[in-house]
Amino acid sequence: VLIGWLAAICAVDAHGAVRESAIKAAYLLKFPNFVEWPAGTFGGAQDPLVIAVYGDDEVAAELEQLTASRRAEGRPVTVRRLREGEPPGKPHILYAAGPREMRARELLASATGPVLTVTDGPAESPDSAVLAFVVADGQVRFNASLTAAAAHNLRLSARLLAVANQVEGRP
Amino acid sequence: VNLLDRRSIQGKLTRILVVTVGTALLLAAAVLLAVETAKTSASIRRDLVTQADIIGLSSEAALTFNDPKVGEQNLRALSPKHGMVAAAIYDAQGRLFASVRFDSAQPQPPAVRPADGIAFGLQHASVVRPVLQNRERIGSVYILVRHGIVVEILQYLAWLVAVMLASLSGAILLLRRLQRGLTAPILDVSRVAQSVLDRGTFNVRAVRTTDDEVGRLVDAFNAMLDELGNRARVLREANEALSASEARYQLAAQGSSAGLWDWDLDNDTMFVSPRFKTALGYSDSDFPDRPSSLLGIVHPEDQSLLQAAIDAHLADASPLQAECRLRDVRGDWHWFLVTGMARRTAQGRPFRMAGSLVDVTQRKQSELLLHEANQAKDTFLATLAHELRNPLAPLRTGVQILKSPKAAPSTVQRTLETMDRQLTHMVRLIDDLLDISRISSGKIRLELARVSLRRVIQTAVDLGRPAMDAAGHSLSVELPDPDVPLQGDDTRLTQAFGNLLNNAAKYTPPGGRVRIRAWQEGQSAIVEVSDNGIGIPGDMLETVFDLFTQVNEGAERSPGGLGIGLFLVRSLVEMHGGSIAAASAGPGQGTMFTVRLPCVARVAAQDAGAREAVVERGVADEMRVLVVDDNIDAAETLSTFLEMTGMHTRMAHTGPAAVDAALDYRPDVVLLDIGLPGIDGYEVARRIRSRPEVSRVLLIALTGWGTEADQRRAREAGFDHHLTKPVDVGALDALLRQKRRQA
Repeated sequence: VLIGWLAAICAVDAHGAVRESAIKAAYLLKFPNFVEWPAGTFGGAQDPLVIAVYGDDEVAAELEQLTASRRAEGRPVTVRRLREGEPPGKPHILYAAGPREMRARELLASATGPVLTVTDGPAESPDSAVLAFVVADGQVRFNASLTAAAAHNLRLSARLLAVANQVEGRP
Repeated sequence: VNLLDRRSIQGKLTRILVVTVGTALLLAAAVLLAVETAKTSASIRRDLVTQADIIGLSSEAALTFNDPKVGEQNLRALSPKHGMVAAAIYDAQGRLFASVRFDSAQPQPPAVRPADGIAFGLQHASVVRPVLQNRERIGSVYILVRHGIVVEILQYLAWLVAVMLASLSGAILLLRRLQRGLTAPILDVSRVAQSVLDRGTFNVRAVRTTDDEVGRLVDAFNAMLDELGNRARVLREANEALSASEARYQLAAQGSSAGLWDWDLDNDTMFVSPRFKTALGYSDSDFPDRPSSLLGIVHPEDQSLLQAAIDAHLADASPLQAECRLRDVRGDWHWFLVTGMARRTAQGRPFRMAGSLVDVTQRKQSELLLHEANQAKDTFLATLAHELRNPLAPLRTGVQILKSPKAAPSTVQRTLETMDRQLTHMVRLIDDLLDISRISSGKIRLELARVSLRRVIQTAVDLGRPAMDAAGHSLSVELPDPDVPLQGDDTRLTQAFGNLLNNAAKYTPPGGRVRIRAWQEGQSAIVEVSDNGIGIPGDMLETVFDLFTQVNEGAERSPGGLGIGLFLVRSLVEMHGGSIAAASAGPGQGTMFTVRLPCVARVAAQDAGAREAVVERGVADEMRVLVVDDNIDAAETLSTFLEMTGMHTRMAHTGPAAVDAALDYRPDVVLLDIGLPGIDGYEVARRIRSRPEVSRVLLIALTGWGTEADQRRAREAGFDHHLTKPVDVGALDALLRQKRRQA
């Protein structure tokens, strides 16, 4: 915690503002608290939470740094960087962003089953990703898509939705 | 009368009720209040925590994703209606994340997160709860509310007070109604007790109306009244018995001459019965109930004796008995016998003495008289011995002179006269004694005959002449002329006047004048004997006639005497129906005795001539006299005397010898001593009388005993006459002459 906290401080001090990548990484680790995967997704209580990252090395690096000492929802966290063309496999969270938007979109679309898909920037279609980072009022926020969540068989906490910038598919 | 009591009892009950019920209510109220307060407080805390936790839960995402707006929205969800004042969310670092203020009058939530927990103030309560995520603190929630618990408590309190007041009032009202059942019987008991006190009778009873403790109290009270009534009755009966006993005791005390005394030693008071005080003439004020009252009237000479008796009694518990003189109110002394007994404590200390006071004055006086009489008797005996011894000395001397061959005839003659006088004196002394004895025992008898006062006085003068001559007195005699005849015993009358003359001679200094006069005065013969002798003190003019009394005026001048002469004189005179009086101008002024005798009608004095013949001296020739006495000297002297008068005599010294001599000698007269060896004089007389040949003999008894009984016994034994020893020769001579004339 201390190292993370120090890293965050350093990040703030070094760039004059909290680095987006650090916040996104931290958010990625917090999301599991507000998301409910279908039963049987995790084999055991100590099964690691796998986060696959594509296209944003900064976030991946932040994540790797954070997960060295932090857990998500009480589980160890495994960060997997997806190289170009590498199939996402079966991670619990798939974060796909970066300059190669199409590739990222494809990757997200290819992920099926109970995977929390997260992207950066406003989604082009409601079902492209469950959550999407946006910047509002100079702050990192996120939008949520209930449609996508339902597609991935995930349930998003009401509290998560309460702090979401926009919620798609709310009846 | 009972309004006050009722109030008092009601007041007490009400006070008890208020105190107990009030205390109970207060206690209950306090507990309720405390419980309510605790409950309210706990509820407030619980609400605070719940609300904070809800806010924390809902704000978890806001904190996680750093969204203060959402945090504030969550905070706005809190309702200001429930006293909410302010709320805030702090981030993990304790910095203010979001805050709302519902009351602008209140201050802002603190900028830095306060410590976790609940802060409970009088008006406000605040809570700080952590917001946890995966057991990791991601922030805190702060809520400040105005809880209003004080107002709530005050309201509650107001309700309690109202309820309490209502309950108390209700209880008091109920008590008022219910206590009548309790107080009415008690007031009834009180009323009965008051009436018992007022009227003093125990015949009222309280009525039992209930069956509880009050009912039992009524029962007990009635039982107590019964008991009191019984005790009062027993006490009254005991008092009556006591007063009856006291009355009996008083009656007994008044009936006896005894006074009673009761000395309380502890309080130093002494009760003395009123009868005693009255007897001595004291009033209650003269005689307060103090020991000093009694001790104050004790004769000074008796005080130590009385004190010693009391001390002895207190020391050894022997009965207190003492005689002492007590002074009456007039100052006269009375003898009292003081008896008493002390009451003692268990330790033996006397605390009370009581006893009686008996007037023994009369007994004491008798004792005194007895004592004086005894003393007179002692004096008499001493004097008698002296008087008897006095004549013996000259007799003995005379005998010595007569035995001496050298004595001249004139000396012999004088000696014989002296001896004769002494002897006469002695004989008269003893005769007087015998007469006294007879008078005392009432055995003397007068041989009454017509007597001549002249002859009687003449004879007395003859008898007294020697004494007069011896003392050198001049005696003047004035015989009655004409003679005064009397009815009397001439011997006794002679004896009386002779005694008076002897007395005069004896109590007149030598060379004095004695006069005897006699005359008739009406039907009385007066004989007056006067002298110029030592006289008689005025206070003894009466007592001088008493037995053993003497005028002891100057012992050295007193010629002595038995003190029987005047007694004898008075006795003889009174036996003749006469009286005697003594008169004296005082000591040294001489004495005059006056005798009054009743006289009889005057007759011719023919006796006088007859007597003249008797007095004439004749010769007792040819008379044979047997003298019987075991005392040879006595027999010989008497025999010698008789032979000197010309008689024949023979002597015998024993009884049987006397009888033999009488038969052999054939005497005309036998002078027979009674106390003989062998057979006594009486027996000798009887034997002589039993022999016809000597039956006409004249038997004369000679005894030392001259009582009437002796004389009677002698007569019974056959004696003709009785003479006491020593023999009066004159009397013997007269008897012998009489015998000879008969012969």
